[in-house]
Amino acid sequence: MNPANHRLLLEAHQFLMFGNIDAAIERLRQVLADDPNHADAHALMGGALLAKSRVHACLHEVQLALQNEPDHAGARLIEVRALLLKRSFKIAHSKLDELEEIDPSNAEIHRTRADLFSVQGQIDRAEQALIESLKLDPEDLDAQVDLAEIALQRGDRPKAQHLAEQVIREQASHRGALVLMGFCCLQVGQIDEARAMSRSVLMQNAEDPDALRLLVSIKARENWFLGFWWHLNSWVTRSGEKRTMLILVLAYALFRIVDGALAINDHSSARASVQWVWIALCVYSWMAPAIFIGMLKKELGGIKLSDDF
Amino acid sequence: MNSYAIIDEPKPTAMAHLAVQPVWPLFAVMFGGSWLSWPWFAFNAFAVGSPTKWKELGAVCVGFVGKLLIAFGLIALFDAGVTSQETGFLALIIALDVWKIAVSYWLYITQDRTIELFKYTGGKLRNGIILVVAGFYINQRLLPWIIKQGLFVMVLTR
Repeated sequence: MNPANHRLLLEAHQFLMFGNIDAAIERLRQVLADDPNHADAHALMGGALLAKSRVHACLHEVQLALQNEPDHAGARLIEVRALLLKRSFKIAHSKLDELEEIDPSNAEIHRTRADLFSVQGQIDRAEQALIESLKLDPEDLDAQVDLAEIALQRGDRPKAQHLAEQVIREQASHRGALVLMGFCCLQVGQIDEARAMSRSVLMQNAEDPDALRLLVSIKARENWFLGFWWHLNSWVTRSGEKRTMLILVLAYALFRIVDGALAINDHSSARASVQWVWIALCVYSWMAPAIFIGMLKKELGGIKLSDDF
Repeated sequence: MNSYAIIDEPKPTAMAHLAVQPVWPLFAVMFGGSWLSWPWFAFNAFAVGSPTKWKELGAVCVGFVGKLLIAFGLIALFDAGVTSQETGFLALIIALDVWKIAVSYWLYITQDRTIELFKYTGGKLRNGIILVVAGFYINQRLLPWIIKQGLFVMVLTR
């Protein structure tokens, strides 16, 4: 391999590790402009695009990686994670089965399967997959954090906290464990501690999605008016874009049908109330996110990034 | 050295300086009508060189065809005596509006991703408020005339 490309690839990998996705993408662009058939670069580009939730582009890069190197395990795992984000669960499971046949001792495969089960709400199976993963690689801190997260999802906060503390003892700066500790603190109302956890992770990686989620949860807890929007938004968008669109269109149709029925039956005061509620909801759904994001940006602006980022 | 292009990135054309945030065509459908909003969405897609521009143009065409089909379907039900005049007219208006919102919202979310990337790569966007206000004014002034032209024109423009 061209030494310059090798160096760029290493840099891109480092940037990805620290969460500086944009810098990683720029390095990978340079490699791919010089060598468009570089499987590792395509796979890494897929990973970077996945971190940006650019699922379609990620899958395209993964395909290019696999065209050049059909057994590229990294590319295949990224493909599964993209399918998970796309909510194509069945295909994701079958791709994982294929991977497992090729390399049954790869702990990452089990961890990815755990994520898949977790997103599908199958907590027990997710836990089982994580236990399998830890049997293969007992020192995998990420898998331990995932186990702690499952405990938290089950409502077993002390166990989750204990597991997260164990990971932090191993690696004080482990982002996943710190975020999980933050969520544990938030559950018992220790907002300042939760904020400190979130800020310490964001100092390492300003784009860490879990730390941002924690910070958003803290903000939502502090302000019920904006918090309601966040909970509503999470509920509406949790199952993907198509469901979101369906819910919004159905809500609009329901409003119009109720409004029309009240008009036909001459209930003018009830009709006016329904219309006011609808207008209030529309205004709220435009204003609340703008205020919420503004508050979040203000808080993020006060975080000093570490030199590694 | 040529830069490597990622598949979902826009390829701005000479008209890119006329592009707007997709929220403006979305407002246009509320204040003006689909006659303004949907072609505007399509123009925006072509201006920024959206990778999904043909899909978006297709959605605009499907949108207009769908409106006509809904209208003809409901008129057929009305003619067959399935609905009363009042209920039939209300159902027609609601069905058309729901269809209009669904198509517009799909166009909005599809275009929003591309526009974010366009902005990220240094693209500048215009403010579309003047066109929305103009659309609202034209719609208000022409509405009585449009209604007189009959159902076909009304369905296409509303």
